[in-house]
Amino acid sequence: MDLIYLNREDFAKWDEFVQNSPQGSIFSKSWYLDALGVDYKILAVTQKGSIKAGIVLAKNEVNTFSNPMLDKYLGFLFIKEDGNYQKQISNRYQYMNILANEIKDITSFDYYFHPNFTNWIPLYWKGFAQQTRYTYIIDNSRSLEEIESRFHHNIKRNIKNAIKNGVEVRREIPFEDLWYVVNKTFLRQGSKAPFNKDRLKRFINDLMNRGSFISFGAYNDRNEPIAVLGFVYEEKSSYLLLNGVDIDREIRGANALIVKESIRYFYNICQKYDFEGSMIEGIEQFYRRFGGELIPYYRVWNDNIFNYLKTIAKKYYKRFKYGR
Amino acid sequence: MVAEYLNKENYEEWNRFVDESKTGSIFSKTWYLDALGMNYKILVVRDNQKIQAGIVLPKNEINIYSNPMFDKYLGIIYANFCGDKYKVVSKEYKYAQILAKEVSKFASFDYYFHPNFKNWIPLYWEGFYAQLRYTYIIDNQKSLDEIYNAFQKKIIKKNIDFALKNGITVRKDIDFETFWMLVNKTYLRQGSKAPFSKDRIKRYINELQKRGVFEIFGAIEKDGRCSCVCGVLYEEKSSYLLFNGIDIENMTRGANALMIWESIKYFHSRCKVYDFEGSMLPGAEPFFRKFGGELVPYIEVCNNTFFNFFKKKAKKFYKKLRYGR
Repeated sequence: MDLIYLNREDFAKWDEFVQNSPQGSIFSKSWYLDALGVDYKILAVTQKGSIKAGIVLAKNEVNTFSNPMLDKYLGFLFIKEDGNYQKQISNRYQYMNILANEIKDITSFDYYFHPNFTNWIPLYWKGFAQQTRYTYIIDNSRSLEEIESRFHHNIKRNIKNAIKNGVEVRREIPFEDLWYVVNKTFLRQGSKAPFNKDRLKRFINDLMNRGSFISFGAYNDRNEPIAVLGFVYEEKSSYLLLNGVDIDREIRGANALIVKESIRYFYNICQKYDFEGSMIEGIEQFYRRFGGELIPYYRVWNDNIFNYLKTIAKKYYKRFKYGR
Repeated sequence: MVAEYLNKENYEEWNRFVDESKTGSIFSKTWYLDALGMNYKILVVRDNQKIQAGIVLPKNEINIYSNPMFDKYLGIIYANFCGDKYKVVSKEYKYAQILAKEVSKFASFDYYFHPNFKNWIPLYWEGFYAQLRYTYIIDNQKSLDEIYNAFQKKIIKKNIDFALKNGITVRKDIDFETFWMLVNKTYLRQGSKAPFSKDRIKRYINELQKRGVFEIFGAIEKDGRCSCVCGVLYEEKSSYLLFNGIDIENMTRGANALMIWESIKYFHSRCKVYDFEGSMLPGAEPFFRKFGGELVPYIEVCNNTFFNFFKKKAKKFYKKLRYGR
């Protein structure tokens, strides 16, 4: 078995591997990373030329080996294997050991893994640390009636209020509207959006050209956007990446209404609807009330003083900046 | 609503609460903690005078707020709340936050929670940190045939057959001295003596055997020698494989697997599940995994302090130095 960094000419093969891997998602595909405009390399375990496992090692905005913004799930991906369960597990342990031996030298290694990565024991043995985080996911194999019947009664009531107040839902809204409301949401929380407007515009354009991004907006009767959503999607799942509310113009239920409409939109297009978190107190409660299942995913990092201090610094920065 | 520490006269109420709770186990019961001989206090939240949530806070062998040896699952225990799932979750969040506010005062707080405690978000909000660990659990709703069929063929089934062919038998009437000798030998082989005293373990096992919650199994070689032992703690909810000692140089291949298989059979009709109790050790995990149990995560929650960061580092360093792992 070989461990190699893939060349650009192997990226199409990598993307196909990602497509078929249970831990693979759009976030690990090379064209998605290119659209984000981040530095990355791909480490793969191969056998007789076929990829058995791998990991995207992307650098984030502060140049450390960690998820860039808008790139939610990375981490280890494995080939889908059939047959004997015990054999599959021991193969996975072997792949993980090979990858871990290489990445343990990357001091800043700190990534969010895909929810289908559910066993980090070999990484524990190699000196990594783990933390469980959560997202809410709606399974689209249920009927739409069942999905909507699970909404919390406050959500249902608020949606009715938004409809009664003439809130209009639009799809594929202008980028300026999306940006305006998302940025305003960050400003309200104490800082500007943590991504650059031009970069976001380019990223969204690239994804729209590939048919994997869509936005939704709730508009008031003065044609002003009052809540917006931005989704990345593929057949496996839709991912709620951007959510903004203009609190000055807010009509109760407008945000819930567009979430509901987006759930309906993706129902026939994707297998799952992923709220993409959140661990933030107010946001978590809002997403929880759409009745999705609480799904854990892992953050895995190299357990060293650099990452410990980074985590502490991040915590204090958030407390100082956003009061949470 | 505030958290309060229980008085001794409320311990029976606490034990009933633990029994009824899905996140409660024998490890949180007062008489079990007494058998271990540990110092502990119990923090609870009441509503309408009834306990709604609580946590046992024992100190371990080095006097910090962490699981003592042989006290595998502690952590927050909830009452079995009724109502729709939103009400249940918001109650759990509310009580967890009340308890967390109190226990955040303990810099060394670091406990393994029960596998049925699935959601630590409210503790995250209170500044705690959590890491996932795993155990393997066999669901006794399955038939013994199904359970056996899930065993790995090469290492487990073949070795069990080999042990049977070579006349290995499994007995439950193993004396404490033999049990101790084999458990201690296992530690000595790994580079140090057992991290618990013989007298303490003897007292602890005696107490549990009096209550009918502990069984010792041993594999007997053809010459009558006992070559491996296991000690299993149990209650109706689960059996827990706490001890496993082997005389590796003088043991017939498969004797340990056969003995564990016999213990699985013994508890099949007595307990709902069979819990292998981990382990995260590179030497033990592959062996337990091969019995085909389900990989079940449980959460270690700790106060996110420098104390705990350095404690973990020191522990890791010590293990590497002592056992080379």
